[in-house]
Amino acid sequence: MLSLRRPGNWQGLAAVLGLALVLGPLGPLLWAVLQGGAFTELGEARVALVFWRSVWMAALSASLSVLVGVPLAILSQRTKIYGAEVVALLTPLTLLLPPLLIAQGWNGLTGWDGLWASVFTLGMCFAPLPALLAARALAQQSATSHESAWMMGGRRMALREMLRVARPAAILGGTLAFLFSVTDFAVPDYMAALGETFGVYPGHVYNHFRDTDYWAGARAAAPLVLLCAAVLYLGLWARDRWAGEQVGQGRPAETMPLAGWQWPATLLAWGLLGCVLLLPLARIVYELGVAGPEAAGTWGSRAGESVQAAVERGREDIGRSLRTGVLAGLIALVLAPFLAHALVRRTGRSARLLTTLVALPLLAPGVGYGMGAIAFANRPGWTEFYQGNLLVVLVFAGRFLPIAVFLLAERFRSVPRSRDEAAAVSGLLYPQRLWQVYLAPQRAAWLLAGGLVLVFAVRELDLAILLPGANQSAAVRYFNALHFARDGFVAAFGLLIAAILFLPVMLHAAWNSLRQRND
Amino acid sequence: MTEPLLSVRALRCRFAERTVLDGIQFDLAAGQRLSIAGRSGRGKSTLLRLIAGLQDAAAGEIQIAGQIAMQAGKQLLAPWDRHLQLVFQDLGLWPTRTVQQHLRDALRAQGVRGARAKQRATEVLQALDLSALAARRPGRLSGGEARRVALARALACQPKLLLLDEPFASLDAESRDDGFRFLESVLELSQAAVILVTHDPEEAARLGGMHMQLDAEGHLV
Repeated sequence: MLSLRRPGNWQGLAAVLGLALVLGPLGPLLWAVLQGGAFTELGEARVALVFWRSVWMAALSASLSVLVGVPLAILSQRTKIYGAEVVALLTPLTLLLPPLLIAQGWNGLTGWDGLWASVFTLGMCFAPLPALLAARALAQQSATSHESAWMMGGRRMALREMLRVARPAAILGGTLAFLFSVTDFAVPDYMAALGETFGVYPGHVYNHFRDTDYWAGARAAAPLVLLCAAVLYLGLWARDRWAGEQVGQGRPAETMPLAGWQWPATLLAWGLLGCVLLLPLARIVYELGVAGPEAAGTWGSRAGESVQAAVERGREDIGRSLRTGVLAGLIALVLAPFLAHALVRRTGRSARLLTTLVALPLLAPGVGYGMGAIAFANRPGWTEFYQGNLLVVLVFAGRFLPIAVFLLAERFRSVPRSRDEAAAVSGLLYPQRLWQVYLAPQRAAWLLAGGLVLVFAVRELDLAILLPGANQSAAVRYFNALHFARDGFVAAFGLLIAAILFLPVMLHAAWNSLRQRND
Repeated sequence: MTEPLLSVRALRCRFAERTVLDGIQFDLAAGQRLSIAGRSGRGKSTLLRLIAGLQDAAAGEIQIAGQIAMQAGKQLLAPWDRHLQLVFQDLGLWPTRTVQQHLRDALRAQGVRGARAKQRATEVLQALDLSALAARRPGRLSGGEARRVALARALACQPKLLLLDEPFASLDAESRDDGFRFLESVLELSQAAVILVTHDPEEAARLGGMHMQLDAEGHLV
């Protein structure tokens, strides 16, 4: 008989529901792998060239992300630069923006386009991944392991030890940056449209949509999904290989004094943050009121008109995107805690395998995932479902559920196992135990997990282009507007989306700061 | 009388409104041993951190090997220029480094590099009977083994002064005996002066040499 006290039953139910969400879009991709037809196209020289181009471009972008992200983490987390807290707060915001927005900003600033501009832009877009993970690892370094290095060899040795502590996190962050870069369609598509034409593999997948051959599109996406799964597993293995078990009393290490290096270090940190976020955003702000040959009025008046136009013309699309995001976020709020708990109680190979499995929906290129959803849902008698919002909500919830699961798993790891076991021994039902031990003390993180699913659902473009129900969304309108013109409306609409996407994270930061002040 | 290796004068340290150490004053000659006992929270670790240059004091002066290391509570000499090593209570080992790499890193900080560093690290490990642990990381060491590694790392730096912060706390009686024997072999090899702080009077007595007590007012008696 099923027991309400057994975690396995609840986790199993959550896994079945999660699987139901992702099986529709992922099913055709997995089916293609099982049928053995997934790699047929890669035999063609042209397709193979595009595939390997995507791989090395993503490898370069990921390396750039690590080169920018790790110094940002060290400078903001462990040194006394001016404004370290602000740098730490702003760094992750880039991840919330559609990469196309950063591409727009950098292209406007420098005029760069083509393949190398795509590599650079994606490197900047995903630099916060290694930065965030490395900052977290550095925050957990024990005070005495830092001090023993400092005492023996000063700043240089302490820095070397910090790099070693950050290395496993940087490896995982670089891996994630690779995965997001190799599956991105919108940025290479935009950069190729502006300058020298080049193809990437997600573009090859998308071209099957133009041919309305959705099953072929799903088949074409399968090699990329397999590559991503293999790379993620290797990344997790490499992280575990280099990770050391923290020893010490848990007193966190203090920030490192910089003496005469304070100003240069501050400039470096703000310069890196500028590249990752501030400069492209500033450029888009400038574009709000940029003057065309026939323009009248001041920059301020033109910017005001642009914002007004963006609000008026984009209100409905933004409303639709938000509704979809909220519903997807609510689904994630329910399912993610069970899956996160299942994840944190595993170690070694089984943890790596489960992590890779949970991450699968996120590893599929957006266009491939969309093609899978179309292949699954576009069938006679399903027209209303296929064209409706319900499919979009379910597809987005499934795709971004891993974000909520991984965030919660990260927080759950800090809960002592004994607290969980004490609750189990006291005879609490599993959902009560999950609530009392894990969720209630970390309500803000739980809400943030749902909020992030909302944010990613609103910012998702590659997938939204394909699904009829998502065509009238904020991301697609921005994509179309940007490809059509480069006026104040595009800038204002992009900034409006950015403001909405920043909101959940800013609210979370404010909540945390308020709680710390009250404590 | 020869110049002391360590000279502490009128040292005072406050945390917020509380005076932790007050009027601390003593000299220590090269190779001499000093144990300082006191209950938890009396500032024993703070005293070692002040001598090591890891934090500032409210007032006082510290001289090491004839150089002023701290004056009027301000650190004037960097920790790595003080010819001393501190073995922390929680050891401060580096989680991603093997035992051999711990020693090589310590030697590299002393300017010993490459093959010489490797050879010297191997010699220290052999001398202290730690060769079997050479390839292990701290997470794979027992409490007693980790303490030996921390002492070996300190020894590799060839310090003139060794500061030990409750080095055998949380060990059972047998492991503590082993630890003390190991410490004796380290001190024999290094000829360093040593200050050991502990809450256990028996441990303090066992080190030999001078013995002092930190009282509730932060005075050394």
